[in-house]
Amino acid sequence: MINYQIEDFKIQSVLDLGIRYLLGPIQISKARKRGKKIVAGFLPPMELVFAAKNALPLFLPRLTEFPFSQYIGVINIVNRLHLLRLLVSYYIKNREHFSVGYFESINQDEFSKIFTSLINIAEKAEFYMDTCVQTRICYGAMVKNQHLIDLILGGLEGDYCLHFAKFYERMSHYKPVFYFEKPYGDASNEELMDLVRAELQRFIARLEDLTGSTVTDAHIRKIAQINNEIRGYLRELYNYYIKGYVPVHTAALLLIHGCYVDFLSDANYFKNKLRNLIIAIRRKYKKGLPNYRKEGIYRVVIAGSPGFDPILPSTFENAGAVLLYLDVLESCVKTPSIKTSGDMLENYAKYLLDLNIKEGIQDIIDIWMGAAKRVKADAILFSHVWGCRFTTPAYRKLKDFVMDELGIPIIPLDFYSPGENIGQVQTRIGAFIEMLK
Amino acid sequence: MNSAILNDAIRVLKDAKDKGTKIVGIVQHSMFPDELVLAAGAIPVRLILGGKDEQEIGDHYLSATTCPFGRATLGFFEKSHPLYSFFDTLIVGTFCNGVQNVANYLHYFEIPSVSLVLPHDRRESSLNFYVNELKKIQTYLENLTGKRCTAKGFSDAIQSYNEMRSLLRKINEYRKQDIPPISGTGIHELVCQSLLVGPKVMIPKCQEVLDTLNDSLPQYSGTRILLTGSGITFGDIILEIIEDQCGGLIVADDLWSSMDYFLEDVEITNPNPLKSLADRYLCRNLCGRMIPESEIRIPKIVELYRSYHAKGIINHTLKFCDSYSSLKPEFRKFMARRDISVLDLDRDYAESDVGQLKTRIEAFLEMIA
Repeated sequence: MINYQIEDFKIQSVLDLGIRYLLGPIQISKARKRGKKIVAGFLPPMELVFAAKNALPLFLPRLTEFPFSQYIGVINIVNRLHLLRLLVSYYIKNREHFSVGYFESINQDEFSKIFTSLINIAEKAEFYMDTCVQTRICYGAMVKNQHLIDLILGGLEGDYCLHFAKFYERMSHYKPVFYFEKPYGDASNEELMDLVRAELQRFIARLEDLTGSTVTDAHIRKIAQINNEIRGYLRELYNYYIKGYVPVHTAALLLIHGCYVDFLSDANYFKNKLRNLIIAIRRKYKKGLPNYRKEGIYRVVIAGSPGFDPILPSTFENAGAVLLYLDVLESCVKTPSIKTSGDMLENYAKYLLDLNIKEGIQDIIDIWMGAAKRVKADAILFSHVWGCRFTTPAYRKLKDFVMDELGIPIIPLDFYSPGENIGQVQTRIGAFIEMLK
Repeated sequence: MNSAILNDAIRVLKDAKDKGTKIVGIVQHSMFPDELVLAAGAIPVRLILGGKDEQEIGDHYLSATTCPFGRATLGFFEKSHPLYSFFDTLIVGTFCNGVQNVANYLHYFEIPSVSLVLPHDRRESSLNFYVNELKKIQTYLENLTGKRCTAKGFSDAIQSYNEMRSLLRKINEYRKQDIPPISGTGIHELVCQSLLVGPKVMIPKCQEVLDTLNDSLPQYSGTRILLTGSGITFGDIILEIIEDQCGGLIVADDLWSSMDYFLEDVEITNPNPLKSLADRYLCRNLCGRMIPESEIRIPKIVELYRSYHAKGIINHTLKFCDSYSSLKPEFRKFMARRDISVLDLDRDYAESDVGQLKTRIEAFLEMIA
């Protein structure tokens, strides 16, 4: 039998990550009051922000205010007393006595509404709406919380998606934007290495200027070591999926991905929680973690643009399958660790180019194919995100690869905004899983 | 569409192909130096066709939220359009997502390609990177043609393109007149021809046009507008709608398929021709894809608006063209602060919204007249 996603929240470290994610607005407001400068954007090279003493990186959607935000302070205290885990366990054990699945209802409806509210803010601010849901949400979050942001770091996404590049330029009408140039290619291209080195120097100078502190080689080394450790834990986590286990389900997996983007603005905290999670999973494994591959529970890898309706994980679960979002885990396997001896600027530049796109969409297709092959997925769901210019148009190409090389089913699922066409999504996924059976 | 232009181009390219000359298609809208292809002994041909039917065919490959040009280009390949059947290779790259998306599906048509990776800014490190990209393309083309790019080859190619651009600029100057002897459509057609057949054919042709203009009486009148935004493909009905059906006159623009093509020359005296080409195509272009737009493009539009005595701006974007769609409100506000009226148009190659387009353009022209 499939474990419900909520069961993952019986693991203390998953709860801790979740609460810290939700505390985003409070955490950032407090940090700013303490004089920290907030740099919004995406990893990498956002982690470099940690190398500046008085600055924190921030993934914009973490500023989302959830419907139960007013209670989050209390929930946080309850969690710190390790009581929340007991409450969750009690809820799971006695869930049939609850009139409605309260947690599920939050997951399905409220999450949709909060993201929709950010999209509405973006629309009101005349954002270009013929675009992907991710940028609509991030733009809304930026407009709403601009008072908390000191600098916006634009980069990685703008190299492959022109809309993203212009999205950052648009943001520059609100807040200062640092655009990090990093065209396609790898470290064997000397001119590209020179360019990335120059961009890193420029970015570090900007950070120093912003924070009034010096970024040293030692600072970069320290954050590189933390990064390596985090990626090491993610690789270990991935190994369980590869063996057929599902150590954490979709919601927790998405949470880890969400936290990874800015390391929860607290790299040590994120690292420690991941370590605790791995320890907890090792224990569960020793006790006998159910192997989904052996149990015949369908494991569906999600490909496409990283955006889908919050109802999707539970829709899969209800249909007797599990949805696996593995992009970051696969990337951790494909990309070597950051070298931590010698010139750190050089090492970090090389790391950025190891991560870099070399050939365009084929690189991303390789990530999806790699993940599907590694975990021996039963099927692939392609998140056909409306308005995405880079990954969504790759559907036909991916489909042909999947047919030729994997011979497993692939289904595209259109997605415009959270909460739309829920009935249709459920019917479609239900039929798809039936077909697998 | 002026089909004579297209048929002439097909004939010229067929003759060249029959003689063994390699034909190089260029998907990138601009920021690629055609001079490099000519110096390598091949013929550069820009992909400049767009169409309703082809866009629909392209939907089989790309999602409907990708740019109409990219979808239509794949449609033309699938239809084996005569103009697109000569290519020995294609130059693709990272100009925009539309261009990248075309490249992603070229293997379906078994056309080899090489990618020119473009930065978004014009800093020195980006310039060096771009020069290196040009070197990569140069080597690729030399292998394709079996000819080395010599200093003389570069010099000849740059000179002939400069000469053609110079003639186009002279013709374009006539648009400043109150009642000019050439329309926006006329200039666009000349540029499209240049993009298809290059300076060898176009230098005498432009000279001929110039002689005619020198002798001719003024012909075109209408409400003077500057056209900006997405490039206009050859035969696109939008020009006809503005100039022939609504009474507008396009006196200036910043389009890759028009004035951006010829406003700037390539420096001929630099001993490193690739650096000269990089300086022109990376640092002195008007592309909306560059960041920030406020650096070159926007001030240039204001300058053109004033020097060509336009009365308003039509900001025309193809749906999902990110170079020009993303910052439309900021563009409009910027121009409003300078008392310049802007009409935003957003469309694709489908012709179902022509009536609505006409109504909006007519109302705008009436307002600014």
